[in-house]
Amino acid sequence: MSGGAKRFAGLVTALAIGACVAPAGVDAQAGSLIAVSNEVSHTITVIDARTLKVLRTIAVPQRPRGIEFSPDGKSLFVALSDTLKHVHGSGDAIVSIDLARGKVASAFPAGTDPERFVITPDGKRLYAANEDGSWTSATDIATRKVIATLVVGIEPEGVAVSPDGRWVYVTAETSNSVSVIDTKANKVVANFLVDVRPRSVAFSPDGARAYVTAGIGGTLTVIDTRTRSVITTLPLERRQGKPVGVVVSPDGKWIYVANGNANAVSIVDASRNAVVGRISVGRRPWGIAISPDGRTLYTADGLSNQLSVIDLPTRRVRATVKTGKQPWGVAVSQ
Amino acid sequence: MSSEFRSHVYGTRRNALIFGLWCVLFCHAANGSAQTPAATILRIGIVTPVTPLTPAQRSTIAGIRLGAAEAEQTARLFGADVKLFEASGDGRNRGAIPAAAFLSSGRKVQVLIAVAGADVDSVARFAEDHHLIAVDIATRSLAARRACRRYSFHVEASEVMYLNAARQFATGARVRRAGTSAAASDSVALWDSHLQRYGASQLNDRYAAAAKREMDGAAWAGWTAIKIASEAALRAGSAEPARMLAYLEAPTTQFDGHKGWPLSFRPSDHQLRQPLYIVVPTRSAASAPRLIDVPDLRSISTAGADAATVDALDRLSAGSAVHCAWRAR
Repeated sequence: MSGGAKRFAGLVTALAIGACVAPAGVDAQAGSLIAVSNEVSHTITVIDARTLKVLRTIAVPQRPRGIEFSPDGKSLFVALSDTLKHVHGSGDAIVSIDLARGKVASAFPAGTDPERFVITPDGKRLYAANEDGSWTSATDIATRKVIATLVVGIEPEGVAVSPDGRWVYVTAETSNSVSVIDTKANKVVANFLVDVRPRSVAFSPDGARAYVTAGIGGTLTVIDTRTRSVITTLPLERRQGKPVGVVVSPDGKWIYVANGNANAVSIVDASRNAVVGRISVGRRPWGIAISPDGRTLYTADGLSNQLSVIDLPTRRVRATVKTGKQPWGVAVSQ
Repeated sequence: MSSEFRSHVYGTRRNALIFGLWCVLFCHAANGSAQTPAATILRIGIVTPVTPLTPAQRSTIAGIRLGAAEAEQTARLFGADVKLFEASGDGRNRGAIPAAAFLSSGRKVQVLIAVAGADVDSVARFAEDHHLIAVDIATRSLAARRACRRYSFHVEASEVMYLNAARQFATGARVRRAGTSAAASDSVALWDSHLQRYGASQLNDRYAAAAKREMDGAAWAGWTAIKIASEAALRAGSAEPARMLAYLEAPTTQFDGHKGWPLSFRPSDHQLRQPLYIVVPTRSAASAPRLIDVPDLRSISTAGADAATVDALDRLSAGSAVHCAWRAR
């Protein structure tokens, strides 16, 4: 067994031990589960979306950040980073957790310091932003191998895949850029500049638009994905909000942005590209997710150690759920 | 090439490299972009001192080299390029000005940066006369600001900013929370390797990996100078100095220096608006110092006041009273 394989085997074992101490019996129907990655406590909080009860807390051996459910809802994927810089250390990986069995199923190599990632709609590939490596790794899920390492801008962070699975957009915070990856060719085919320090990116359900937050710019940039050009850049929270997470409602009508420095979510009307409201949440919301029916929004409030649960018809926080320390990302089963 | 110049290559013996200049970065094939002309090549000239380098100057050059490597990677995404050249005088021809002249005529640079504080004025004067961009990373001198050179931009904070940061901290409510009664200007830093937030830890890690040393203020200034110059060329779509100047002066232009807030050049004197840091030592020498940013922009931003952030940063320069009457370009 190679050194790398040994490291990953060790990681799987460690995660399995962490998962086994949690109660079993979690089943992920569409919208039924919420999962939160807790960056400092190195845990994953799994919450029943209906009752808002914490079903289990899963310990992970490294710093968890990016978190996504698999397209079939059966597995939860989490990006882990170790403390080693600029090298693919033993703790750098994306792991999948089998929710039905409550165990870690696999660990996937994903380059150094994976932060955010996406799973293609067919469930076959992972694309991960390697923050300290300034590239993006494409991993084949079936073979658990990195099949491409793509040079993007410096300090990549946000990753999103178009609804048809053809394009992956990757933001780079230092370069102020978005790179466009053709998933058929696994090549970067275009790059464009956006506002200062881009963080996250999300596609509209029809794939015609992409939305990019910019932390220092304090804005949301609207991208025409056909021409790969900027349509407009919208100031949020008077440019002081340091926006991070962004999601689009399932009907494509609304965009929701988590403003970490303003402790609020901005509501953008997609038809007018206009900010139409805000919702106060806990301190430093970064991660944001929306239920499949578009009625509930969730924010991971990093400095409040809580998940805010927002009722979208009334645009009010209807509940908060205690999480681990410094929640970073949140995902909802689809 | 003139025998009046010699090159540096760090990590090798300087004496073995007489009469040469080196180019750190080379053209590469790149993915196309409609936003930046493929022919955009930014050429940056670094004027190094003829005297042995100080530790701060070594940090500066390491910061410049990291900045150049990152700027090159970014530029390549857009079919552009960034090239870095260095030159120093041989001590017989007044050093900085002949070096700048060589970089301008021999290497066709559009941007000049002096590594030594003593060379900043000479290089800035040369750049002004030849309509090249000069980025000041090496002097806090008020005289350099009062010279009012249109093509000069000051990334290093002025001596007034350092003094005011210490005063603001000493008179502010945060003194009690910090557990120290006052701060002298020498406890104010442009940057510190222990900074974590706003992507600072990522930058510190990248620098440490590349330079095998911790990032200090001198290194940050060097890195930031290259980042600003290369972004100006990319955003302006041209490395022509007049186009870059227009971008650098534009009221909407902002930069990220991993300090958490938008950085911009003050119109009145081209001083970079930026927070500074009070470094409060901890009792244990092994522990990281406490770092307190001045001004405290978090309290301002929660009020949602956009212009207030700029005002607060400008107050760091209060008392310097530099108001340049720029000529129309």
